[in-house]
Amino acid sequence: MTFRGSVALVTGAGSGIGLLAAQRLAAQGARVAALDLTAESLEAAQRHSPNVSAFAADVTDPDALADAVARIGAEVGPVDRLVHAAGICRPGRLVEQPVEDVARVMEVNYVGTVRTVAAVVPGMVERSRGDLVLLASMAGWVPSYRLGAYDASKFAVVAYGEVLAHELAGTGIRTVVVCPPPVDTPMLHAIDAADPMALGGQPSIRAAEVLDAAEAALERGEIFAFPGRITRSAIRMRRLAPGLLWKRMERIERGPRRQPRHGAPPA
Amino acid sequence: MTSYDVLGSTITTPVEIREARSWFSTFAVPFRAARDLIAYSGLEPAPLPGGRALASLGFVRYVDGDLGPYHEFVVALIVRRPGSSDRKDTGAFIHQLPVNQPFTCAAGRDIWGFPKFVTDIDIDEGVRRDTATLVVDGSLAVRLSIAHGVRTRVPDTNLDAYSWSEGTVRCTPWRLDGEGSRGRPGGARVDLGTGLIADELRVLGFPRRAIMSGTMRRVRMTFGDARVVDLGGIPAPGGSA
Repeated sequence: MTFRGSVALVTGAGSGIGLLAAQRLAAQGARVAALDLTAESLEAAQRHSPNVSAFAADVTDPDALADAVARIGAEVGPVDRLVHAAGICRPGRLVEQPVEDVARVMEVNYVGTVRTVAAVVPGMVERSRGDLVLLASMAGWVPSYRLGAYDASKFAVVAYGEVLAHELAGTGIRTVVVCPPPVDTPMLHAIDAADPMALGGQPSIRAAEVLDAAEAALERGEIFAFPGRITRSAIRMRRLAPGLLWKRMERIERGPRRQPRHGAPPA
Repeated sequence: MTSYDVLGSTITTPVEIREARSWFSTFAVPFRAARDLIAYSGLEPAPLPGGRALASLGFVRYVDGDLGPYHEFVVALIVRRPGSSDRKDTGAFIHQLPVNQPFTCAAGRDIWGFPKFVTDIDIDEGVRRDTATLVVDGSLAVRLSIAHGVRTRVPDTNLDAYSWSEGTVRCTPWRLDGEGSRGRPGGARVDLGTGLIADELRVLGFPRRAIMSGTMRRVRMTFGDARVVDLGGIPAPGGSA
């Protein structure tokens, strides 16, 4: 796959999966429009790469986003590939969490996806080509303690992406919804710092594996990419034996038993 | 530690590459053809038994590093360290080094005298093999396809990279370590097109079988300051290049 001369829009390009996607596409010779909240956060994506241009916009702000996409079209060119990686996570137990936090996560992760796709797809349909790489999460299939807000938003992205992929079939647009387990990124470190219990000791994978899996799924014409070795089996377990899965997660949530298994006096 | 101004940005050595992917194949080529090819530099290939020398073809996808993201194609020959009598004391002479981005091109030429130039390099990562296509002046020069091998362990490596630029030979300490190494005997397919690089490889007997090929999924590298190598008054002959 060659990207020379093509135009890519990468949201959330300031760090993590978005940053790596922008860097890779730039290395491959694409003209990359890197989008994040502030121009300063895009310094890393632009570093010494003349084919990366920075655009500051909030994906939840329709006017700012429409303005940025219009400027990208004029200054960089019509978008051939969208990598939508902008997303946030606010860990916490749902009833203890401010409702505003839960709503904000949905606004950024789900509505942000919808707005970004809506801004880019009409042009792709007109040109009968384009790639949509939407970053969802394994959390969009397997919910867990303390990530309820995030899980709900990613479930929404998974459903939206699946329907979108089918509705766009035959238009020349390829869609992949990427569902990775925890990925070693600044966002993951922030989740860990905010709530060390939230990830429940799940191992993380590298951003490069996520992008490799997305690329492979696009090539194979698959709607979903499941990077990571245990992702598919975790999703299967959630579908077939949710009780078992929750029991396991509950054990982690409650922490190690304080009472010894044997020899404790009955209460 | 030295600072360089490259196209208006400051680059400080050692230059760090935090993440890259690399693919390399090693070939035994006729010693005399190899010697003639790099005679312009005043360096000499390290001789192997049977009148052979070692050549290496490779490509690298630089993802995150001080020189920005880019692709690179490498044609290198293993040379004897100038002034050393030990035949095993070798370095890698970088004979051709096309890249696909202008910033790294300027930095490579200014800081280390690497023979970089900007052209099209496509890297296609496949299920069983990965392929780099080098296009120069609009036509195919070389296509190098490297098969995925078996897992291997590669120790951290310190190499000397030699370069020649406008009559000066430089030696750059090049340190690399990485994860996800794979390798296998053979494993490379070389298709030649047209132009200087293809013709040079034909002189070395390409397309030919590789001795071995390998990939590294995640490489970190540092490039130190280049030092000018005094070849002891050996005049740099015109050579055949």
